[in-house]
Amino acid sequence: MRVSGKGLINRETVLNFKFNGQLFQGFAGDTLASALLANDQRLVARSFKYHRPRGIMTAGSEEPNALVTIYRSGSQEPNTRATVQPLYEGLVAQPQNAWPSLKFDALGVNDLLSPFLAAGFYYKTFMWPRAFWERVYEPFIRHAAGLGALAAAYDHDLYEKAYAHCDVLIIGAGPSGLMAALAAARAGLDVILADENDRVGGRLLSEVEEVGSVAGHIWAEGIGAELVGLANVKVMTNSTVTGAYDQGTYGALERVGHHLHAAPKGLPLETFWRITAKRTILCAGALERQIAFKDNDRPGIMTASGMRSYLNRYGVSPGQKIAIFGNNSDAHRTARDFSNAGVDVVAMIDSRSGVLAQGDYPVYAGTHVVGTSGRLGLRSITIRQDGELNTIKCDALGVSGGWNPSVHLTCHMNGRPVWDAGLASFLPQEDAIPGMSVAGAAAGTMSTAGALAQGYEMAQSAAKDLGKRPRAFDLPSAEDAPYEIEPFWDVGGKGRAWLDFQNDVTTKDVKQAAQENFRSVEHMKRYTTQGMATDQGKNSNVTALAVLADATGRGIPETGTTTFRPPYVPVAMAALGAGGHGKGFAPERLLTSDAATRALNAPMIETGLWYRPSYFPQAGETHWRQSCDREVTMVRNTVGVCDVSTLGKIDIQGPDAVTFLDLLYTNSFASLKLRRVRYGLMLREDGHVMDDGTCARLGESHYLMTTTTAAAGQVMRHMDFVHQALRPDLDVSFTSVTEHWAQFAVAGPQARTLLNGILDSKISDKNMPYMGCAAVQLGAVSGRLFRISFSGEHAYELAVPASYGDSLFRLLCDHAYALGGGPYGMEALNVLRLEKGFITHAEIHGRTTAFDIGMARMISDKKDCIGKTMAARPGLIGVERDQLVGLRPVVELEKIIPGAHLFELDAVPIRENDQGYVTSMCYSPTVESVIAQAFLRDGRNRIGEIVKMVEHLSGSTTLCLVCTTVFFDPEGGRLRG
Amino acid sequence: MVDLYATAAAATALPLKIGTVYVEEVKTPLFLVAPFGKKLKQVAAVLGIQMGLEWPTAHVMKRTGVAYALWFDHAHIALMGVEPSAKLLQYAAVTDVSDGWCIVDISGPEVRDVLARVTPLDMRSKSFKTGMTQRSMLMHMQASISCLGKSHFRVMVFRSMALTVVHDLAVAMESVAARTQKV
Repeated sequence: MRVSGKGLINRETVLNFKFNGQLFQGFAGDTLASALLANDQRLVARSFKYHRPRGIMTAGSEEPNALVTIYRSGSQEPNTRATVQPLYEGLVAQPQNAWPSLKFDALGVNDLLSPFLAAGFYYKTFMWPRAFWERVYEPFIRHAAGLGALAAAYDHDLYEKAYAHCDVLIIGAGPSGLMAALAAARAGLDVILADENDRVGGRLLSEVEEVGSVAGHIWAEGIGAELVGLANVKVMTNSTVTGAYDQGTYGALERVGHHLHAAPKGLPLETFWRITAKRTILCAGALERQIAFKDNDRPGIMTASGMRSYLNRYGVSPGQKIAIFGNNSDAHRTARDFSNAGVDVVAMIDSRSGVLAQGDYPVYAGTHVVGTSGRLGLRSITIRQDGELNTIKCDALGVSGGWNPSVHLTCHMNGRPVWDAGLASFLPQEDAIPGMSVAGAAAGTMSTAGALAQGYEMAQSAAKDLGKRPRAFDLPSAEDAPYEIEPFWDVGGKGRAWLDFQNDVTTKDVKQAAQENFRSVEHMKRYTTQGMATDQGKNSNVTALAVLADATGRGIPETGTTTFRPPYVPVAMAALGAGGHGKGFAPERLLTSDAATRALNAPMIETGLWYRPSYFPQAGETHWRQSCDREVTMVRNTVGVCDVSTLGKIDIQGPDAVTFLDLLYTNSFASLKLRRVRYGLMLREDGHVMDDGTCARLGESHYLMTTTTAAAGQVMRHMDFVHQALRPDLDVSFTSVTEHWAQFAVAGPQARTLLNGILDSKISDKNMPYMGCAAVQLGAVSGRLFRISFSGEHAYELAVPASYGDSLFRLLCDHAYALGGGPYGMEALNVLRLEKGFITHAEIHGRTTAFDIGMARMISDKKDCIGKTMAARPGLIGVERDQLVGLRPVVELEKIIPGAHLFELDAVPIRENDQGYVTSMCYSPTVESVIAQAFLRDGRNRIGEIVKMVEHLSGSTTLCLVCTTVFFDPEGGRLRG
Repeated sequence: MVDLYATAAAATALPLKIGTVYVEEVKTPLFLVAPFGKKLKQVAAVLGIQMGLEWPTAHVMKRTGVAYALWFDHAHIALMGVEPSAKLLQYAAVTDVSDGWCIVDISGPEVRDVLARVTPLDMRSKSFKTGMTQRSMLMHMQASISCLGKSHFRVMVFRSMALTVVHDLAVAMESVAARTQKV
């Protein structure tokens, strides 16, 4: 119910929302949780395992119970914590884990079966009969398991990533964070102040206390406004720092559009920030924990501080009759605030003796809550005082088992928190994160005055560290009452007392884990599921390990904690991978001929990041093979044009260029004449083939290397390594010019005719012999011409600056059409090279040597080269190697499948009998047969043999004739002619 | 004699204005210069005397009128906006890459916010000042990013990725613009 005169909400702005199909109203400034409580909706969820009715437990991101699915224009987001979801007009939320309804949940039967479903029941129950696992148990568990559900539809929601840098990152904008930010900003540091709330103030928004003689939230608002006005401060509200990483890097999740009714176009739901900071001050506050007692999970039972938040921040009382149960002085603030607000406080129960009332309400000192009643919501509690049981009617119970400083981020780089017996809490380990200091409640400083002072000190210290002169100023007066606590974890007795509300872990489960020798806290966690799922045990871990410590007869520090890992709060995968969907997945590298190619309806194929035409369909062609066969025949008979710009091009200059090339390539380049091109083979340091390509000599000490498309980056990297690490003495320089030149293959008997139609000066065998190169002129444009061939035909590659690529491609195609030719794509290019026995990275795939591919003689014995010695190692040469051969099916047109393995005819096709594998295949319209390349054990000595190809996935078997790799024009007359 | 026409890398995708930020393609000569061994002094002298440009040290961009000399990587500087002096060829490897890069200028009051969404570089004005140039990632692409003015940057990526850089910048620009419109 709403409480008049309380709260920081705007009661003039009414917001309509829907929960569980029912319409409600709240106010601007509400969260979904506060609005539900204001509407007396205590039952909001069902628990994960036993499907117990559950209500709202906290007012923050640590909420274990109130998980809902938010629906928005076709999308749905599960596991949203109602406690951190700001209310907006038209919000639609549905409870999870309940069927057919929240009030009657069929799987509530699990609760009745709870004696059989205790910790470890999975491991014991589903062992037998063995066959049941896949058929019965697993499907059942899969159906029942999981929290919430994702929509099956494509996610159109926008998420974003961004980077930020600062001198000091301050995590948390409570009193210590605000003071730290102010001090750091006044010292001239660049500050980022991040807080998960939508406004600054932290606990000051939830408490009735004064700072500097004004209400705490007013003071916070004033400091916040001052900070926002400073150029060196960035205040990031709605932003939760989720993880601490190396080198002062932090992840932070900002809620951007999640809380808006209508977001402008392009606004992301969330932004995942990578923040880099020189120093960090963690002011994350503390989280209140529960006390374990029988049936402590009923809707209406919550943390005492959460209850205070709802009253003081949202003007909501979670019940009409309020009871409080605690073991510390802070719990009394809840009783005091509710009493002062005119809400009926029926009991303040304190496990400590001798405590006094701070207002007009009954106090039960030295008393415990031992039970509760109310199936769908709390109706009464049973207390035990001096051995006597009494029942008190109430509909809301606030529980405080003390405060756990939020040490999580200090543990993200393997820091272990340190037990403090006085506070009955773990405190951050010093210097657990390089550059991070901790202030306020997160450091165990529980009073507001202490938090302000510590935030100030940490900021001054950071300023000094970073070479700034701190500016001293007076701190405002603030509450400085001591925090008094007597550890009390578990009331004990019969019945189930919940520790982890999200995973339905009870004290009994933890004790059972200990009994079954899962005594390590990490083992206990995995055996019971304590501290898993979205809340990661923020409320429950410390209490659970106190119960474990008790059960194992150890102290809490010896028992230790589980490991806190990032992220601190759940982060949508979409936020982590923001920008990576659709066109953002990877860059698209487009050829200069891309538009012209697509205009010809060519299907594009991805080669690395490049998009290249697969083939160019013509009218009447219904299958790619028709187009491919036509294009191959066209190149063999007339002329074809193919964009080969994707091949790597590296410009090499310098007096030592040729020495450098001789070191890189297996064969010699010292003898390469001006305006000539040579084929080259390059090895890795381990002696295996890295790449092949050509190298043209453009000037005295000026070369142009080409690489394969696949290895362009690898070769460039290799060259940088060789130059910087192996031969820095060589005076040579190299630059990638792949993108500067658009390059087109013109191949076929009519290639020269075509070129002579467009070049300013005619070419002939004399001025452009096979493997020659020259500068050429195309009107006003200067280009380069290379007489090289990857098709086995009389062929050239013509390059112009990329600006002219589109124009030249269209021109070449027009001239080719006139000669009966046209463009050809990757399919035809592959067939043409296979007919000639040329290799690609299907063959030089990283595990083959020059010997394997039949190029051992290309490793010059007159000079050294990278990989030469290693290539000669035993095992890399000889009859035991798989060697490159050609294959043809014995029965015409039978399939040969790349990736299939080869076996001797009478051998069983198993791994032990493997004789090699197929790398490439095609149908050759030129030789009218399926042809292939393969690696075959001692293959070059087995020409003429018949081997068996077996493709195990499809079960195909084909008998293949082993032959040489060259199927067409073995003498090479066509390309030289 | 044939008459080839030139096309821009980003074709018709630019210019683009979203919110307060404007992106346009720049067509300019671009040459990479790598001094041969021990010839740095001579190269710097040619730059100074012939072209009026200072030799840029790491992360520095020098400018004279429309001519820029900017640090490019461990081995190269880039000359932009001007054809290099022929004298440079005696002392350095000079490579024309004018058509190899898509060069875009991005400007506007919120340009740093836009770039902070696509590159991990520190885009604060005190860190990335006018006259600085850096090599980094622009989303998935390696890029050269230079500060021409407080709210004016030059971004260069390989030419083939021109439409991708337009896409990535546009998404960031829309997001930044939308933030100013949200209520």
